Order: sequence, then C-alpha cells, then structure tokens
Amino acid sequence: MSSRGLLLAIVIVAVMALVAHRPALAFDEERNFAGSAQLDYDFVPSEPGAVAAPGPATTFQGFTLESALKVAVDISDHLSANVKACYGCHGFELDMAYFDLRAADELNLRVGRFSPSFGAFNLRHDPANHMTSDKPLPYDMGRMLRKGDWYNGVLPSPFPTNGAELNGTHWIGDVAQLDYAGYVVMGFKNDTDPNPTDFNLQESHLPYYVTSDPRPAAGSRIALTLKAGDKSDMTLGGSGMFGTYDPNNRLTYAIVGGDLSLRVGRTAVRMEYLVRRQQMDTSNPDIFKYAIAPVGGDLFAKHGAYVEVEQPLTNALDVLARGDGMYRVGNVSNAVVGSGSDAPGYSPLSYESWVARETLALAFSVERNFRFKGSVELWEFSYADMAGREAELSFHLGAVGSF
Amino acid sequence: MRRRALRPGISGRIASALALGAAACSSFYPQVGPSQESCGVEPLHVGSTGGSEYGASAGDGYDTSGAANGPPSDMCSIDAGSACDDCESKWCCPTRLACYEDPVCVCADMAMDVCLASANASPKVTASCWASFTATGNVEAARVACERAWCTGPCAIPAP
Repeated sequence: MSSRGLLLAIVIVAVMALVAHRPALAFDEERNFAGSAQLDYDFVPSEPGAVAAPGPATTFQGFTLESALKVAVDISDHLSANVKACYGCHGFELDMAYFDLRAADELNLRVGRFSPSFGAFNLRHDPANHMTSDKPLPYDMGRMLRKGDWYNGVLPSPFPTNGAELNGTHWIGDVAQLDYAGYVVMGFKNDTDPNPTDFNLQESHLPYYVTSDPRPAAGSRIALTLKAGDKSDMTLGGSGMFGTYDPNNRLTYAIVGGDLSLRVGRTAVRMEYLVRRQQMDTSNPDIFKYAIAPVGGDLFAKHGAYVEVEQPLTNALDVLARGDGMYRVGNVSNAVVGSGSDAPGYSPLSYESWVARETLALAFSVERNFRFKGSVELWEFSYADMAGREAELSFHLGAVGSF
Repeated sequence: MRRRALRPGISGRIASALALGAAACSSFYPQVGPSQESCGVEPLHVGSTGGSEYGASAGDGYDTSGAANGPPSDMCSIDAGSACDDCESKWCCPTRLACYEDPVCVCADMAMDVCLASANASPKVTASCWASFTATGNVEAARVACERAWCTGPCAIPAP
C-alpha cells in the first residue's frame, strides 16, 4: 500500500474510532426541508434570431428555470445526510446525496455525491444565494453569450460528482478560522469523442453517473478567515484539482484558483481567479486550427476571473457591480465536443481569445425570501461574430424565492 | 560594509524555487504551429457548428463557390482532365469530398499540389509531399489510403 493510501486509511479509521467511542446521547432526529427557484428571462437584442435556439454557438435566450429541493437530516450528533435534487437546463440532476460523518469540527468525512470544495463561489452557486441572475464567467455553465465557442467557464458550477472528501474547520480564538478540504472524486470526463479535446460536460450531467475513466481526480482547498469584529471579515482561499478525463487516463487536467472575500459592514467585495490547464488528444491533427507544436502543443489554458462589489442601498434593495472575463490560449479544435465524431466544424476562437463582461445588477426583496433581480451586461469579445460584432448587450430580469 | 553572502544552500533553494515557478508558468503556456486554415480556400460545406463560410476563395482552382457547391456528384464527375483526378473521382469520391469539406484538408491538399509542382519529379521530394499530406490527419490519411488502393498508377503515388 502506498504511503498516501496508508494515510487515508489511518484517517478513516481514526474518524470511525472517534465516532464509535462517543457516548450515546439522547438525540432527536432532525429534518430540514429547503428549496429555491429562479425564473429568469434573458434578452439579447443583438443575437440573430436564427441562432436563438440552444446550440453550440449560441446563448440560452428567453426563460430559464433553476430550482432545487433539499432535505437535510441530522441523524445523530455526528452523522447527517443531505439530498438535493435540481431542475435546470439539463433537466433533473442530483446535486447532492451524501453522508457527513463528523468526529469534530476539525474532522468530517463526506461520502456520496456532492460538489467538491473548490473556490468561494461554489458555496453560493444556488441562485437564491447570489444577487445576479447568472454566475461569474469562470463558473458559467451555459448562460454566457457564445457559450459554444467557449464551451462554458473554467469550472462550470455546480459540478456534482461521486467521491469522498475530508474537511474541517479550526477556530483560532475568536479572530480566525481555518477551513480545509481534501477529496478524491470521479471528476470530469469525456467518454464520447474519438479525440477528446475538452470535458464533455453533458456527460457529467446525465443520469448515467459512471465513467469509463477509472482513475479518480483529487483536489484540495484551504481558506483562512480573519474577523475584525461582528461586521467585518476577510477570507483568503486557495484551491486545486487534478485528474484525467479520457477513458485511457492519459489526458490530464489541472485547475487551480485563488479567492479573496472582504466584508466591511454591509459592503461585500469578492474576487476570484481560476485557471484550467488541459491536455488534448492530438492524434488527429486535422481537427485543429493550428499545426501541432512539438513541445507544449497538446494543451490549452483557460483563465477566468471576476471582481464584484455588493452594496445594500436600503433594506430591500441591493446593487451589485461585477467585472469578469476569460482568456483562452492554445490550439483550437474544430470538432464539436460531445458529438462523438471528429467531423470538421468551425470554431471562431484563435490561439489567444478573450471575453470580458461588465455587469450592473439590482435585487429588490419583496418579502424576506423572495426577490426580483435585474441586470444589464456589456460583453466584449476578442473576435467578431458572423455579423461582425465584437460587443453585445444582454438584459436579465428574474425572480427568485427560497424556503 | 561587507555584505554577507547568501549561503549556497539558500541561494540554491531560491534558484530551484524560481526554476520551479518558471516551469509551472511555462506548463500553462501552450504552443502552436502555423494555422492550418489560412490558405484562403473555402471548404465545401462547413459542418455542424454554425454553418458559416470562412476564408476567401483564392480563385485558384480550389474555388468551391457557385456550381461547385452543388451535389457531391459535381465534384466527382470524371472530366477533371487528369488521369489521377478521373480515377479518384471514379473510385474515391467519398474520401475526396470529405477532404474538400474539411477546412484543414482542403488547405493541405493545396499545399500538396504546390509541393508536387515544386518536386520536379524528384522521387524523394514527391514521397515527402505525400507523407506530409498523409500525416496531417485522419481525413487526409483516408483519402490517400483510397487513392493508394485504386489509383496508385494514375496518381504516381510513391510507396509508403
């Protein structure tokens, strides 16, 4: 057994031993039922009608619904379970189905299906937990303009997968909190394409929750929160994930990110940076726009970042300003991801491409758990679309409720 | 004042850290060769991701606009004027069309014609032209495989 495997086994045994030796307490099983739903209308005046339907090079205009129902059960002092089902663009999805076996605040073992700890936004990915209708570009999962060109964000959120995670929180007095997580999960996959060049995210969101890539992905996160009082704190975090995504376990991906959140009074400032380095199957060179370079020619890097400032104007009205973008560098495949073929297509991206977006959003709470959201977004691209546009506008109007 | 030199161990570690940082940065910076689609020739039909045409036709015999964009049989009529083209049209129409529909293959095809024209019947250069075309990708390899099976003589295809 390798030293890492031995260490993992020791930790698991330690958790189980701690749990087993806890005195039995009178405990009433507690169940919590929660849910949220967001209906959003995305209006893109510049998009040609011919490509308004869902497709590889388009955006999802019109109405979209994201809803979720969650049951959390505290079975005992040290065992809890969570199940969350979502309904969104992909239809129904099991976002959570896991057990938490908690020995202490510092030692919790999570097993099942969940989104592994990565970045700060992942905790707020439910539309009831953020003020805009859509996600920051590094975490976009299909709501961005020209989504087919970019094939979504750096790490489309949420990213539920099967696996195990060890996490915990350690308090350092009243002023600091250290969070950590380490996990092994199924990870991303592309079992469909003969020459995989990117994740097939559809495969990760279909009920066929297995993969022919048998090796797990591994990752970790660490975050330090400093508290300057009841109303001010700062969190600095770093995350990483590494795995393979093809059936032969040959093509690797690595995602790393850093995040900083600052809360002063009622003002919140958040920023994150992510980069994904991904290998591509270059055994069929003619699906690529560029000849394959002998060194460093089988990979691309996709960078993404956002900065946002959230400020309540009144008790009911919040304003948010956000700047985000992505930058992709590397060879470009013309084959459509997930098509199962290497038939030639067309990607308008070039060796270096970027997209930037500026967002101004308002959120108005009608009731404590129900708010309207509206936003205007200015998009800028490094390349022109079929109509010659390098800039576009989009408008969101939506409503979100939670219970 | 005399400066204290860094201990070799520390400077070595700093150098190692810098080298590691440079390697990490370079591993996130991919490289590419020249564009495979910049020859200015339009493919026949661009497939499923948007249906756009791109690249201006060079008007050099590869122009696939107008009548040439018609049914596949138009591209495989046996009136091309050379024994090789006629043979390929007769026996290898699907692989020929697949190449003309592929933005990379259509450029590789033009590059090979230029290569063959400059070969001046040199067997070595001719073989290199064919090898280079074949190695471009699956579409090119399939086209050459068919030509090799049916048209080795008319097309004067060198042995692999």
